[in-house]
Amino acid sequence: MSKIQLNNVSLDYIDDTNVFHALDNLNFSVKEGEFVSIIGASGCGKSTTLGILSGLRNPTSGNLLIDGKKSIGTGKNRGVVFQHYSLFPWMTSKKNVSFGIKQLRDDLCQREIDEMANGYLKKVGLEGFENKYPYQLSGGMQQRVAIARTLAMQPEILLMDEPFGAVDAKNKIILQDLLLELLQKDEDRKTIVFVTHDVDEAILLSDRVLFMNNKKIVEEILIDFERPRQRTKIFNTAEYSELRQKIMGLFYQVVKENIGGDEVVI
Amino acid sequence: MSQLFKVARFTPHALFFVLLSLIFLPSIAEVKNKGVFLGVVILFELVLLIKHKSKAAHDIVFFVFAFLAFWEFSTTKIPNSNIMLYPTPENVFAVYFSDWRKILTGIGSSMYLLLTGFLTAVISGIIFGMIAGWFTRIREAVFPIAKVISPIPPIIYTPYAVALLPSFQLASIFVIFSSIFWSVFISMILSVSNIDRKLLESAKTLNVKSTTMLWNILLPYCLPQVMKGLPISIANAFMVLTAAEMIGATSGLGWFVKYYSDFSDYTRVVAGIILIGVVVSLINLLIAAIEKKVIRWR
Repeated sequence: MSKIQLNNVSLDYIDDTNVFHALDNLNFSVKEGEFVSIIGASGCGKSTTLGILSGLRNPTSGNLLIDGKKSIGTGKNRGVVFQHYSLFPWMTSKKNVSFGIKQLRDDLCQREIDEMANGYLKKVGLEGFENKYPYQLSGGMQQRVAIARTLAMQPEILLMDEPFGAVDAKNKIILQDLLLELLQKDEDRKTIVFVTHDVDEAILLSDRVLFMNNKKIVEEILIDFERPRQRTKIFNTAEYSELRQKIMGLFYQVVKENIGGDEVVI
Repeated sequence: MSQLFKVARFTPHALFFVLLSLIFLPSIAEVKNKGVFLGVVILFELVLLIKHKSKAAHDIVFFVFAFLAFWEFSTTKIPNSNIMLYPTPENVFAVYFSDWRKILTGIGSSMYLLLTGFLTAVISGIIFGMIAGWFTRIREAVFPIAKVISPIPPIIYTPYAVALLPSFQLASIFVIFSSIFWSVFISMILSVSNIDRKLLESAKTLNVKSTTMLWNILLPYCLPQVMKGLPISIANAFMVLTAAEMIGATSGLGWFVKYYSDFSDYTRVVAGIILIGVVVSLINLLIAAIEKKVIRWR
């Protein structure tokens, strides 16, 4: 049984008289412990798909199954990291993390929650920043807090919506390595769906890449590098450049189609 | 520029000595007690010496001293035809000494009315505004009604409230309440309904309960905007309060001014007006301090 299953999922937005198709008959499944990336040009529907998976949006038709059961709305089994810093500005890093824990665990006392929060902040390398407010942290650090908050809730499924999209190049590499390191330990192994537009990021992190175009999944690419992975070992292989070329080729095709069709946007 | 600033640094101190000599030179008008006025002038000079690095402090004290020197000179050194309408600063400030008991009870009773009305209005405005902002259906019903009621100047209610309600205190609390409630209520509705969607979604994915959503997400999100409006609200409320006191009170700051103007005792009237300015400023300082304490995340 798949951990996540999407069956014929479509989503339409109706605005007065216009109907806008946001997703068109989506079918795919994710196995337990699998890392799947959804990649595609902006507007292809990848973030909307994640919105369906997280339960923030409900499909107009079709359904989302988690562990074989129909799922509606957000749930404790899923944690989400967004591209834009989703921390609460009035809480310190520690408060942000412990706020997340508190929503799920009413069996813990404040001291245990605080210890847990500190532990997860340490895991993402933010020891010493527990009492800083988000405005006192850099973008990369804020994103670390967001990751710590999501991990601290110990969800079975981790959904990430371009989590490093707004982080500068150097911090992006550091955060990707952090994610590889955190998620390759067996006890922390989670089912992950990761939305990105960065080809290298998708190949480096995932077991499988889904390429989306025009509200549909058009291609599925398996990435079978062994884990634990290391950036430096993968990047020089012939296999890597082949995968990269394949995905880039898909992007070029999208560009050609758009220019050839009536959606010319330059 | 720096030359100019050196001169500007020096002038308030020079004015201080001008003021001192004006106070000690013989006066045409009768001056009963120079002590309080002298004390106030020395206090300003001391504050300036403590804040000697601040340009703004120099400029502010310069204007205060210039005003006081003009007032002092024009009342005590030029023959003044109407000393009753245009009292000397010494006599005005002396009122704070001679009438201190009446002034303190006045501040006390005004503050009691103001605080009661203010706190009930702010707390209920926040709670109802949060609920009305969060539930679209309630908002769409209540917001247009609020927009009709809120522009009615609360002072207008005063005569009716005094007649309708059993005591003057209750009437003025009601009027103060209605002068603050609507602005807090409306600003709360607006800021709840304009909340950043990303924050809401992020809260939803954390599976927060609706009560947690109201108290731990919406309230702290909206608090800064509501607090920003409070100094204006409190100034409005004070205006309403003093106006109400002029109609029906037996003590209070507004009453003090009204009562003595009925006796044409304009020395006390001017003293009362200055006192009201000082009290409102102190309240605003207090609000700013509370805001700084409560909102530490900016």
